[in-house]
Order: sequence, then C-alpha cells, then structure tokens
Amino acid sequence: MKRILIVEDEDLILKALEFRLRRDGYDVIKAKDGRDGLKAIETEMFDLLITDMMLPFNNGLEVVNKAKEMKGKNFPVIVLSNVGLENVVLDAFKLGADDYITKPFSPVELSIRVKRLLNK
Amino acid sequence: MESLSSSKSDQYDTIITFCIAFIVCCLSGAFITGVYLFYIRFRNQYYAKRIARLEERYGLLLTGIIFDEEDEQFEEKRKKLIKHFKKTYLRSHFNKRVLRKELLKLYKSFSGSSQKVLRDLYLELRLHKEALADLNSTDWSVRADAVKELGQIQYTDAKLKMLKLSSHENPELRLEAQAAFLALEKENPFGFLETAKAKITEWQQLNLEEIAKRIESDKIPLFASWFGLRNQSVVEFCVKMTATFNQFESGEALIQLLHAKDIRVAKEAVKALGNLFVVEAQLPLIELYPGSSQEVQNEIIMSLGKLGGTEVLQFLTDILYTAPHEQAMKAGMAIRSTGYDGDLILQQALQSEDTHVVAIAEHMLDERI
Amino acid sequence: MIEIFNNAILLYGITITLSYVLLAIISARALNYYIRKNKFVSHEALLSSPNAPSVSLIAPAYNEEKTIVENIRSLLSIHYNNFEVIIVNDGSKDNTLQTMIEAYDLQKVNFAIHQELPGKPIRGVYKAMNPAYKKLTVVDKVNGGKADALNAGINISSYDLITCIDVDCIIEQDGILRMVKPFMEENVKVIASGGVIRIANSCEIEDGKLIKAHVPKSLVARFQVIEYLRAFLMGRMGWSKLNGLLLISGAMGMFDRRIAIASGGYNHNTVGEDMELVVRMRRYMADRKIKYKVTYIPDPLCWTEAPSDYKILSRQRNRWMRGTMETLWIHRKLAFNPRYGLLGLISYPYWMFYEWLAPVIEFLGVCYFVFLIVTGYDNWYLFMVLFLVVYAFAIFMSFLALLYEELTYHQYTSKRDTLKLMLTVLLEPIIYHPRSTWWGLKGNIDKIKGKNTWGEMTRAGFNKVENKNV
Repeated sequence: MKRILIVEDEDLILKALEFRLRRDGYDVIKAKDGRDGLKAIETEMFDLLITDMMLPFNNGLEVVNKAKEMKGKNFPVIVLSNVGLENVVLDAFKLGADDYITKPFSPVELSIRVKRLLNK
Repeated sequence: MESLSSSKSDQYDTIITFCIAFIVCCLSGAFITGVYLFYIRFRNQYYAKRIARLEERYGLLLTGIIFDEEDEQFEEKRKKLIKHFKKTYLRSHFNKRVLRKELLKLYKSFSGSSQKVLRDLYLELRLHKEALADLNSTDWSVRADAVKELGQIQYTDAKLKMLKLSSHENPELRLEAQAAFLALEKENPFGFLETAKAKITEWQQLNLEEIAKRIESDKIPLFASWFGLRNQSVVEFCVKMTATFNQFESGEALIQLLHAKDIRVAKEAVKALGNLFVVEAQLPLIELYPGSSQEVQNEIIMSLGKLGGTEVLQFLTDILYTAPHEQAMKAGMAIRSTGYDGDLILQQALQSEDTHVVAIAEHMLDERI
Repeated sequence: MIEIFNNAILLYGITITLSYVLLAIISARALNYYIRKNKFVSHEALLSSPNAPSVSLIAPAYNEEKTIVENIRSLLSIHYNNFEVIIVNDGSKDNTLQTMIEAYDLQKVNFAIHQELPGKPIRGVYKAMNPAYKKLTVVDKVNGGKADALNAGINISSYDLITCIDVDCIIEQDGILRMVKPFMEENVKVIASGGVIRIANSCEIEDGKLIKAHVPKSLVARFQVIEYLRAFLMGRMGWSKLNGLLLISGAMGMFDRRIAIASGGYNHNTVGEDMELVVRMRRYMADRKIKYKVTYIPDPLCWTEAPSDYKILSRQRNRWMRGTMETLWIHRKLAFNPRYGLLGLISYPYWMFYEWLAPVIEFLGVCYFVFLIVTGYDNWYLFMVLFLVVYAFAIFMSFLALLYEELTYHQYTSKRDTLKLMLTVLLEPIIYHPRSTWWGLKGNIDKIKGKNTWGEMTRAGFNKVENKNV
C-alpha cells in the first residue's frame, strides 16, 4: 500500500483529504503544521507529499525543499494553495514541486492527480 | 466669623459625602464588573463546548456524504442522512446555526460536484429560511453575515433584497450585499455600480474583485462603459476590472482617463495600460510623466517597461541617468523587463562614469536579487 | 495660596477622572463595532489579489546569534503574499551575520544602496539563494542604534507599507493581514496603523509561536499586564476613534513608507523615536492640509517579554518618560495651536498634563500633604477618604479593562489566571503605582539634568528587555 504525507493546517481540509485518499486505498500520515511536516519527512517513509503553502512555523516552500532534499529530486510533491497565489506556486515549482491544486478543490480531481503521479 | 466657618464646615461635609458616594459607586462597580466577567466566562465556555461537540458531529456526517457521492446507494444514504438530521439535530435555532456555519465552511473548501451535494442539502434542510430570517435582525452584523451566507450558497431568490441592501448606510453591510448581488445576479451582476453613491473603498474593491473572478466570463460587462460615472471610486474599480478581465478593446478609453482629476483613477489607468499592452499609450504616457506626482511617475515607468519600443527605451534611459534614485531604480527595472534590448542598455550603463547609474545597472543585472 | 493649590489639585483630579471615563466609553463603542465588523471578514481577497498593498517587515538585530535563525523562520511563515522580511544587522559584535548567512544560504548582492534617510553606512545587502527563503533580505550596517537601523531598512525597502518590529517579538500569523486592512478601508489617507502589544512572560511558546497565553508568574510582569490592558483596550482604542493617537508602539506599527520618508524617518536624537515619528508624520500631513488618519487595531498581534524586575523596569520607564518629554519638546509648536485642530488642542495637552506632568503633579500633591501634616493639620479622616477615592476609581477602571478583555479577546482562559489578575488589580495602586510615579519623576529629573542616553543606547543595543518601546 502506498503512503501519502499530508501537511495541512486547516482541520476540515485535512480530514477531507484523508477521507478521500483512504477510500482510494492509500495509507495516510498527517502533519498539522510546517514543523510537524519537516519532522515527518525526516522520520517517516512515504511515497508522495501533499502540502499546503501557508503553514504555521515553517512555510510550505520549506517543506517542499526538505522533501526534495531528503527523498531525492524525483520524489513526487503536490502543493495546495489558494487561488491567486500563483507566484508562490511558481516558487514551489522552482524547488521541484510536480503538481498543484488550488483551494477550493474537487476531491475527484485530487484523486486523479495523486494516481497519475504515483503511477509514473 | 461664626457663619463663615459654619458654611466652610458645611462645604467640607458635602465634599466628604460626595467622596464617600463616589467610593461606594466605584467599589460596587468593580464588584459587579468582576461578577459579570465570570458570568460571561461561564456562559461562553458552555456555548463553546456545545458548539465544539456539534461541529464534530456535523463535520463527520457532512464529509461522509460528500465522499459517498460516487456510491451506488448514494440517494438512499442521503435521504437517510436528511431524516437523521431533521429528527435529532435541528430542533433549535442554535443547532441550526452551528450546522449552517459548518456546512458553509465545507462548501467553501470544495469545488465541483461536492458543492452541489452540500447546496442541495442546505436547501432541503431549509436552512435558507434561517438566513432569510436573520436578514431582518436589528443587528447589522447578523444581517451582513446572513447576506454573505446567502451569496455564497447561491440562493438566487434573494438577489433583489441584496440589491436593496447594496446601498445601505453601514459600509460593512453594504459591501456584503454588493458582493452577494455580484454572486447571485446572472444577467447584469455589476448593475449596482451605476447607482452606487457611497465611496467604494479599496478594501471593498478588493473583495468585489475576488468574487468577480468567479463569474462566468460571458456575463462580464464592458467596464469602460462606466468610465463616465460620477462616483470616482466606481470608475477606479472599473479601470482595475478592465485590466483584470483583459478588455483590450478599452485601450482608447483608458488613455482618455490619464488626465482624470482623481489621482487614483489616473494611476489605475496608467497601470491598466501597461498590463493590457496598449502600445498606443506610449506617447501619452511619456507626455504625462513630467507633470505627475512621484507615485504616478513610478507607475508610468513600470507601464512603459511593459510596452517597450525604441522611443520608450530612450525615455527610460534618460530617466535612469537623470532622475532621483527612486524613479531611476524603477526605470532600471522597467528597462530590464523589456528583454534583450533593455539588457544591452544596462550593459552600457555599467561603463558610465556616474557611479549611481553603475550601481543601479549592477543591481538590475544581478540575477540573485 | 493654599486655596488655589487645593482647587488646582481638585481640578486636575476631576479632569483626569472624566477623561478616563470618557475614553472608556468611547473605547467600548469602538471595540464593539470593531469586533462585529471583523466577525465575518475573510482575508482571502487580501491574500490573493495582485492589487493588495506590498509590505516590508523591518526588524533590527543586535547581538542575536542565539535566536536569530529561529526568529527569522517564524517571521517568514507570516501569512501574506506580497511581503518581504528585512533584517538589519546593526553592527552586531557577535556572529549574528555569519549565523544568518549559513542558515539561509545568503550571498552579498549588488544592491544599489541609496541612503535617502541619512544614517550610518550600509556595508552590504544579502539575499537568500534558496527560493524557499526568497522573501528574506539582510542588511549589514555599521552600528548606529535602533532608529538608525530602522531607517536603513526603510531605505532598502521599495514597498508601499513598512512594519517595524522587534525581532524577538512573537507576531501572530495573520498579523500583517489584519494590520493592512485599516489602510484600505478608510475614506481618507491612512498614514499609520498601530497594533497591540501583549506580555509573553510565562506564556507557552514553541518555535516562535504562541500556543497558549498565561498570566505571568512574576508580580512585576503581572502589574504590567493590567497596565497594558488598560492602555491598549481603553486608552488607545478611544484615542484612535477620535483620530488623536500620538503613539504607536515601536514593537508593532505599520506606516506608509512614502510619508515616513517624506517626513524624515526615525529621529536618531531621541529615545522615544516611535512616538516622535508618529507626531512628525501627523504634522507633515496637517501642514500640507491633507486629510489623514492614524488607525489602530485592538487584536492581540504581538507578544513580547516584559521586564520582570523593578530595576530593569525602572530604566525602561525612565527612558519612556524622557522619550515623551523629548517628543513634546521637539513638537512644542503643536501645543494649544488651533491650526492643528484636535492634535494641537486635545491630544498634545493631554499628553503634556496626564503623561508627562502626571508624576510631577502627583509628587507635588504628596509633598503638599506631608507639608500639611508637618504643620499640624492632622485630619486623618479626610486623607483616608481621598485616598480611597483614588483607590476605588483605579480598581474600577482596571476591572473594566479586564471585562473588555473578556468580552473581546479572552486570551487568559483559566479561572486561576483571572483571579490572579483581579488580585493584582487590588494591589496595583498600593504597590506598583507609587513606584511607576517615582520612575516617571526620575525620568523628568534625569532629562532636566541633561542625561543623554542616545550614546548609551548604541552601546547597550536595543533588544534587551528594558529597551522595548510599548
């Protein structure tokens, strides 16, 4: 079973993402802020990272950076961001993020994007 | 002598009596305040606990229904849920209020079909009745909150009410009503602009813009047709929207606005001309430059950088060499943004004898900044 | 003679009482409106629009090698899109600069430095090479004190708004979003906006983020909690409603950069540079007859460590008093000047009589009583009554401030904490107030003796707890 790490501070979205991904048959690890996210990247094994951009403690860019550093350049990363923050998403892409989803998002779309990245 | 001292002691007595009354008032005031504080504390804690419990439950039920959407027995499950809700959870206004909040939170987080599921649920549970009742509240903030809710959930029947409230004297309520009208009215969503008398502040403009971005593109009007309105804040907003929605055909109208009396309108027009790449604006912008305030001058420089062209580059180079620091920096940035030709100019500037110019050129050519 | 003196003291007492009551009423109304207004506001539009104003956060650093990396990290996680963090290394003697360079992969860049506001020379500007820290700029300069460092930051910034903070402050994540809003929602130009400072002693803090607020264990800090609550929720909220605010805390204020520069930036020659700048910006606008506003938001956005022993606190208060005196002296032209409207006729005189001269007048009052006793006028009953009048009024006002806090932000959630605060309120007029009066008086004396602390400040650095401007 593939494992996914989600870093997201909004409880509701975190729950919803977890719900959906578990239904799709993935194992899910959750982190509620940037600091926990960095810790999880260091200690946990997983196959895909989904991270919000605006997080408490450490921002999303740092999380992406760390994941690429620890798990290699080809490690799949999806970033979540609010509409209109295209410049932040661009920075995430510079750091090697593979895909992005804007909030509000459609669960179906998310599930397709995750599948696509994991099957690559 | 006798009478004088007795009047003095009378005076003394009144002062003392007054002082003691004052002390008693203050002390009892402090005491009552303290007791009231704890009453508020307990009341709020009680409600907070109840709300947290309900939120938890509602959250689970609602996320459940969203993700069961692709399920074969979805309809059946949904009916069961509605029954369950009606029977157990929705007997008080308090519960309904919490449900509305929770449902809306979810509604805002998702797009696509999940939204539809939630909206149907909202209407079937007749939660809009609650919001409509709130519209008659005496507290403007409750009304504004309800207006916002109805707008977000797309309850189109309320749009006339919104139009009426969109000229309300309270700026907060007014903004929410305008935003809601924008979201609800399908034919002429920006209609309220024509009659708007009060100033639309920058904050309000920003929020209206946010909603406008979600309107279907074929319902977006030609904003230039409102450039002649009296209310300058409306004109300012329309200029911004002209750029946001890439209404290239309004280039000529924007050039006319460069000489608007309202400096904010002129400034936005300058910006929009750059963002829309209205090449015809090159000369008018260059002509406008000398008589403008520093703020507008900066915008002119940045817009010219977007437009490019030989004359423009010559003009910007002059500014780079002669203008005060802030404008010279902007000119450097603008020159850089024109691409290859601009880089050549900056390379040349590196050889200049003026150390200030060299510093700016070095700054602009430094990729790391 | 005695009659005149009596009446003067009486008049002073009555006006100060009335002004407190009036401010409390105005504040209550303003707070109520503010809370309702922001109940349903979302800041999403401000986060995502390209039309949102750009903000530079400027934080001076002096000998901060132990904490600077963490402090910067928490500043970088503040929620705002169009913003940058400018750290000004004010000639630190330790490895502050080197620590930052290593932690954030900084390189010296060819920044075109232009010191529009004059100051000590800038040695270099550094940018982070990793896109994750793109918002960070570090300025390295020769030591020149806090005002000088802030001016250097303003010179480097090219954004619309500037926020000057103390680098070791804990800023709430949505702090910038909330501070920017007042700049956009007024019908007239807003030149500055102030925020609230809260006391972080004994609070639960993790990695630069406030987890839970607690009432300080130290009594000295607890007195200040009461003092701050009164000042921020009752005093300044009321003044801002009247548009008469003269002081924006140095630890959390936002300014229009253009106007700050045009009016000359921070003044190096005063220890009260934060108040002085606000007054000067106001004068700049008033002299040009441009309508403007100085706003204030009551949300608890910035948490800072307060002095927890009397010695350090006394130095801080001494300095505040001298800062106030200097500002009032520099801008003496405002006093009772109808050309400046409310600023000259109400704000300035208020500060003169009730902030600057209050300790002096109080001291004179006490001397007077001592004189009466010595000369044989021993009406103890009257003394008791007068003392109780002052005491009862003071605790009533403090209780009201606690109630305001409960009705608005209720940061202290435990019952024990609230009871502790109430007890502190009862003790404050007896234990704390005489001391703070004495410190204010001492500040007066030192200033008149010509104590020049500007040089001393440069040597001492400015991030020590005592050197905060609130």
